[in-house]
Amino acid sequence: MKASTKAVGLLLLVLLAVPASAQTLVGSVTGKVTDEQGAALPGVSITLTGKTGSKTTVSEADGTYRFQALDPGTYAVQADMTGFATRKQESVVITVGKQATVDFALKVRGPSENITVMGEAPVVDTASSSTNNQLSQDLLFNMPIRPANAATQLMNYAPGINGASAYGGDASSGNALLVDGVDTRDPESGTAWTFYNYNIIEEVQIVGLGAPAEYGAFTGAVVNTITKSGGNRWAGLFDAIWTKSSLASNNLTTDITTKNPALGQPAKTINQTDVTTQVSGPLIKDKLFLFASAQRYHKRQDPSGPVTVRDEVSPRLNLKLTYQPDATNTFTGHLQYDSYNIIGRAGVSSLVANDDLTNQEDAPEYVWLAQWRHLFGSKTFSEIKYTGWWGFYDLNPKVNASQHVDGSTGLISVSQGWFYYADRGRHQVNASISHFAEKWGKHDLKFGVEVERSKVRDRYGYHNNTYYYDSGGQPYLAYGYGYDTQGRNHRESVYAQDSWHAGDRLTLNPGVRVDHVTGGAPGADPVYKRTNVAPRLGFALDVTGDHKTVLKGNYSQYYEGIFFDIYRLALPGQQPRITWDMSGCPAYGPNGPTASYTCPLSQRTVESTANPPTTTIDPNIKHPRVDEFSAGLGRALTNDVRLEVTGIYRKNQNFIGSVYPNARWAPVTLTSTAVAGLPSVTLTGYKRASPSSSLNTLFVTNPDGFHFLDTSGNALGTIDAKRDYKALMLVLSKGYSHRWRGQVSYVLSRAEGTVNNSSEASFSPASYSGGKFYATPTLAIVNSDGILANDHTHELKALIGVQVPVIELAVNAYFRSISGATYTPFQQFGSSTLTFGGYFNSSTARRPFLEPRGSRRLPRENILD
Amino acid sequence: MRRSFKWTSSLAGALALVMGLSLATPPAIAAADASAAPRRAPTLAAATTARLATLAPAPRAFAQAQPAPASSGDSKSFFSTPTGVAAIVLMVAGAGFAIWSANHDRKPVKSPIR
Repeated sequence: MKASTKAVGLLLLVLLAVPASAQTLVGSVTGKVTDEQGAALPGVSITLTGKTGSKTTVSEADGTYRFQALDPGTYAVQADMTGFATRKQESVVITVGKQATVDFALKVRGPSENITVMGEAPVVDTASSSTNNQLSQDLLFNMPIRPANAATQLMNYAPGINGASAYGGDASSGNALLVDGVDTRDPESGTAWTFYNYNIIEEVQIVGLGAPAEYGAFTGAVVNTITKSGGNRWAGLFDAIWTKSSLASNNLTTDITTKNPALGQPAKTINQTDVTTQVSGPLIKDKLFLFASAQRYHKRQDPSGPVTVRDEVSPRLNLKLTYQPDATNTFTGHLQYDSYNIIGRAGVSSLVANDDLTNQEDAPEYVWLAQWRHLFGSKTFSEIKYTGWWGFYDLNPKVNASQHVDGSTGLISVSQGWFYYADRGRHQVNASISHFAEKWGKHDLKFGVEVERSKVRDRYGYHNNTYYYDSGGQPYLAYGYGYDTQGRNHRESVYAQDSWHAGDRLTLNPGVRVDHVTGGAPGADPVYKRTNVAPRLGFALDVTGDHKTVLKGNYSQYYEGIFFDIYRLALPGQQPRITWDMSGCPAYGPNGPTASYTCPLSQRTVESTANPPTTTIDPNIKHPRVDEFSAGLGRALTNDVRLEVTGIYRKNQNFIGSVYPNARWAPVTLTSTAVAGLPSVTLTGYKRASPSSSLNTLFVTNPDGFHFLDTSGNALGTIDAKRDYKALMLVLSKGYSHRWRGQVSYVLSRAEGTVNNSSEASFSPASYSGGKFYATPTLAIVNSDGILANDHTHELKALIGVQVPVIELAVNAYFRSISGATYTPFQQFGSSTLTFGGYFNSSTARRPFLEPRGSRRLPRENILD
Repeated sequence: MRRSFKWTSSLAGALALVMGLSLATPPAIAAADASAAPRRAPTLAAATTARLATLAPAPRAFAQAQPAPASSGDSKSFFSTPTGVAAIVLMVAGAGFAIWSANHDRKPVKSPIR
């Protein structure tokens, strides 16, 4: 619990709404023109008008027409024919990957008829089996959505997603995070790396249920952020958020601080200024458009705990140019520069860190996009783009010295003592061709190729390769450890998908995606290689034939991306773990250890050296994926009100982990210590019963079904790696009309299994600091099955906005109420009781759950903004 | 190259550029209100057929992009309104504050290995 902020800041001004539209991913409009009796009208001129101009086509012999490769935004569609009254459909909203349907029934022109403006466009997509959620610029700008610079924050406003866990998936690495089609995830582990200014967002599309084959490399959801671009109208934006410490409150009660004194000094923002200035418009009318944005972000905090100052300065610049020399070609270039420059990051536990035990972050990055879109007539278009990003993330200790921890008191002094340097980069080329064909019905076909090359380098170590473990205020032991590892991820993907309109009402959405992924050291043969074939099958049935009711269903497989963490243990670069006896070192002065203190190697005695285990990767390993079944019914209750009911079942497969095949284990009866609210329990844990050399061999595999063996070679337990999600989702949404709009959703769900969905990736071989889940039966099979942390049984979300007449004041509200996350009590037992050891020895391997996973639940979370 | 990047000056320059562009090219006023007409429901199937028979073939090619109606407004009038004046004042003040404060921030930390 932290102090809440009473007033976050002041939104100064919105000059003009920055016009809509984006670039890389597109939508389409189609429809049919008839006369009043329903007879097809060919040759009708159809004009589509958006922010970058107008386009015209004519209806075919069967009365149908289509516009494809349309940037997201709001359009008007008009039908003209000599002798007939012109009809116009305004406010046709195009979203990425969606097809809007606008039908016209033309009437013979009466003596006084000019243009008939039709009502709202149909709100139900009866031609797609996927269930998408969009956070439009309209919603982002008007609703009290908290300014967020990360897709992992914005996605939580969508139904079925909380704490970045999408449909029960892993919160840390399960989501594909795209910005204008650029995969901005960390190629090391799949977590968020590149962030953005929320003011540059045109639309956030969240894809995850029935995603077509063009989407891959995820097991949660795809969060596709489309940034703004320029149009034919000049527009600008100035946005500022400011706050200071006097505007903050402390909502901690005495009761709480008595129970947990560490919460007694909550984090407080001393000062924050977040200023964004933007401009967009035509450099050459109808041809060349500019979008430019500059953000200055400065936040100074007094964090929770002894650290007094945490100061972040993060400038961010965006420049986008869109060039359409003619009606068939569009070129887009986008460049983002941003930097994260922070001092005062706690380098040890925040409860004990002080200003000397902090580090400094220097993390600049560039994100780029170059895209060419070409239309081959009205039925075929192609997109080719080169995207990528480059950046580093360095953490250096504020005090350039070794860390000293006193074993007697547990206190840490002098410096955090370690550094971390992360180098990252990704290049990606995507090419696709979309074609509308008429053979055995109508087909929206899309074929694509993707090539990814990403690089990772991680460096970590102790200052002077020494971490002091003192005793009684004097040198006692010291440790040396570090790594410098590099990897290259390669991915080649092809996909094919169809939206096959088999009749007037039925649309089939078959697709297949093939990903060939490899990983290895630079210039060396890959150590990990898989080819994954992911089918996608879906249908959408226009039940009533009027585009108002859709019944849809899907079966899909989604494979995870390729990440360094999957194979890193099989690469060189890990240094031995050395333990020195420091009793021969010079004593500290009367003030204890100082930054200048060193003990030369000649005065130390090597007590032990642990070399990294020999790690091999299972040649038959399978890549992580999730299988999804979903079925839904959508109904347009009115012209702008839609109700959708969706059932979801997801089952994760092929978790990757590491096991010790040569280790043998012996059961140990454990009795936990009783504490308030948690009586003592007796359970069985496991200690290593084989020599420590049995941990010298590590095997990266799919651990599901792996048998832990006792000293006689008999199985004493089997890993059951699983994560399942079931949900029923209801969404009622209303577009803006009659001065109000809103969306209310309710999700009833259950996420269960043995692999958590809060921070345990689908691929988590033993890492350098943790990830022991599959390494010891104490963690893998003791109380491991149950309810996952991100199991929010009941979820209610509402976004409501009302425009007050006369004063034209918009009143908007967001409400969320979700069941609290689950947790499981554990106790850490001693190393002599639950012997583990080896290179990856860690106290986390000695922390069995005392109750079945997810036995307890935090209070319900309610938010009203 | 990266180590010598001084973001404050770059940010200030970028903000100045953005501001310059903002003020040099005035925004336009949205237009394109279509006039609504009352609906009628004649049932003239024969007339429809007759008119269809007289239709000339229409071109099938995708037409060249045309100017958007939204771009035709008189943009100067906006800045003569009280709202426009307030907009200019706030943008200039805000951008000026951003530039000023960006140049008065602490010196960014630099990783020693870069």
